[in-house]
Amino acid sequence: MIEELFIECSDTHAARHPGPIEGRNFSCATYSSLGEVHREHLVRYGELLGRTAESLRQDNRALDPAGTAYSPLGIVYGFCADLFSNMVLNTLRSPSPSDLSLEDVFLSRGRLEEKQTQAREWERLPKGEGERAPFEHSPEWAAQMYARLAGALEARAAHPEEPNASQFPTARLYVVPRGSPVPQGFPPMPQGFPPMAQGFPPVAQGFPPVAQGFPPVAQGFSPVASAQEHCLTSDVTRARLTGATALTADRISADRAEGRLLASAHADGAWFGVSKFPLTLYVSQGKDALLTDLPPGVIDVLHVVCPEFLVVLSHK
Amino acid sequence: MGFPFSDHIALLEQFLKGRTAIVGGLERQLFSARGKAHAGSGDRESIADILDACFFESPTISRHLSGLKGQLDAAHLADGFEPARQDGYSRALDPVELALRACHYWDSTRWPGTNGRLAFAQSLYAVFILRQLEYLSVRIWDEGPDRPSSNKDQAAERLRHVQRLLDILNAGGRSPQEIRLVRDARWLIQTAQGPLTRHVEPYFIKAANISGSFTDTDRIEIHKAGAVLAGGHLRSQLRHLSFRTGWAVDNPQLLALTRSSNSMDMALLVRDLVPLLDAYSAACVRQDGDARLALADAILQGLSADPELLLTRLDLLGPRR
Repeated sequence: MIEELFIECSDTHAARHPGPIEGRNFSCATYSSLGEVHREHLVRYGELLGRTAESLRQDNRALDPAGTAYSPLGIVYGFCADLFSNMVLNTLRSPSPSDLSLEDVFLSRGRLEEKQTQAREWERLPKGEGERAPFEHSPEWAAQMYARLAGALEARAAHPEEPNASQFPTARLYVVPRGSPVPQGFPPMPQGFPPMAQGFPPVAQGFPPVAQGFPPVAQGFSPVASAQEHCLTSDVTRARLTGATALTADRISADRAEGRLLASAHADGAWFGVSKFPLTLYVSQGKDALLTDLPPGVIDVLHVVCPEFLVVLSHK
Repeated sequence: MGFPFSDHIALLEQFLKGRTAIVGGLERQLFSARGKAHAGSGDRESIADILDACFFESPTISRHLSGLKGQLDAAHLADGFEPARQDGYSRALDPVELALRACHYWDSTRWPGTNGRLAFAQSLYAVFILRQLEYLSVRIWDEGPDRPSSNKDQAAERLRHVQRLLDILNAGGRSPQEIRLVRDARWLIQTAQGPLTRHVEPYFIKAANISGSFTDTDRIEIHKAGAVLAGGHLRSQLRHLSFRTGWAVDNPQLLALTRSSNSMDMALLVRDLVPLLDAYSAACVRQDGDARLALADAILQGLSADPELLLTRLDLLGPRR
């Protein structure tokens, strides 16, 4: 997901997207036309993968690199231009270059001995001082890449329809809106407690607001991990008070443009963003995570980009 | 006025006809005492000027066509493919860098005779032309004086022109020392978009162009190239980062680090994988074993970029409803 390209934020969407944020009755984030196209691709991708996973699992066995002289899964380089450069620089040492071309480098079958020879020549290409090797063909790396691919295909083939086919349970991203306190004793909710998006406040009745700012959740009273360091803000003071990471506005803007952020917004005179790290560090591992002090604009975007995981904690 | 595609085709035809003269010029000027001096001082700009002059000021090139110098690069930049330099390089195919490397290599070993220098000049010539063809391959959708309106058949026709020129380049002077960098012009559309750039939107514009053009066969080959190149690049990145950090490849810290910088690659990879999976599914149904395995090879290389995300955790890829 690339927020800058795939999400539009405008109050004109208010009528179409009623939102759940305290103090506001609308959400201003929605998919852009490019985002809609991407979402359609994701839907189609999921369907096709479910349908073909078992066949792919079988064909993957036929392409097992074990015992073969060469596999594209074993190559390590950088950018495709580096492969062209290798072909050219190899002519400095090899008077009769191979007629293998770029396409052959990525074919798992055919002329494997020749490709192995070429790979060995490229591994020995001259390099500048302090530069890493321009190319590597590692059977061990190929085996490792194959094994993790085979494991994932196995999981997908076993659960073709499940969005989460991993061994980990689906976890949640709990967020506390700016100005709202973290519920004390959080999270006391029973299993399957409905999220805010469905119209039910997910916090236990009568929780008292926590005084003195935002206590770190990871200090022992909650199994939910604090992902606060993955909140980024250009407001240095706020970062110090809330445990967010301070970054310059330019850096947050650049990260946003490169798709490194899950959601971001300009609020109270500063940029605030949530990096994508919590999705992999916590949610993908089956661990719930908590983010606090999120401006409404950021929560709006989170509702669009990760509605399945999101639980907004609010005392109202 | 738009982009004069056919003029660029004519220019490249003249470059290809004048191959012997251009290669001779490259050998004389780049690897002469003057060229050596520029290489010794790392004067990239002067080497670039020599390279350009050998092509655009060759007596075999018509004067009106030599005026096209720089247009392809400028059009690529205007599309938004602004290089983002990392360690001083944008990871683009760079004939200047290759010329410098050759000089340094020969300095540290021994300088070859005329035949050896000519052989390397042939390679530089091929790289220079290939770069022009890469840029031209992503101009096939442009409007211009020879193409007043959008027409998807014209993109396919223009790609055939690029293929014809690539075939001439690869046929070459039939010297055993000549290299064949790439055979299929459809791959150039992907390699042209390989280097690091500052903005992500242009890639999605080109992806949309591809989706709306060509025959199924051509589109599938373009998507195959996209999937395997993305897979290779992202696996390499994982290996480098794993080595640098000491983290295992399944360490969530490492995966978070790579995924954080790969949003665009992943989104584009999914766009490549959807038509490939569709074609693969059809090949399975009609029991076409060869097509099935060829498609599986490309699909699996693409999926190997991040099997956890692309296969088991579709919920993390993004909402699907």
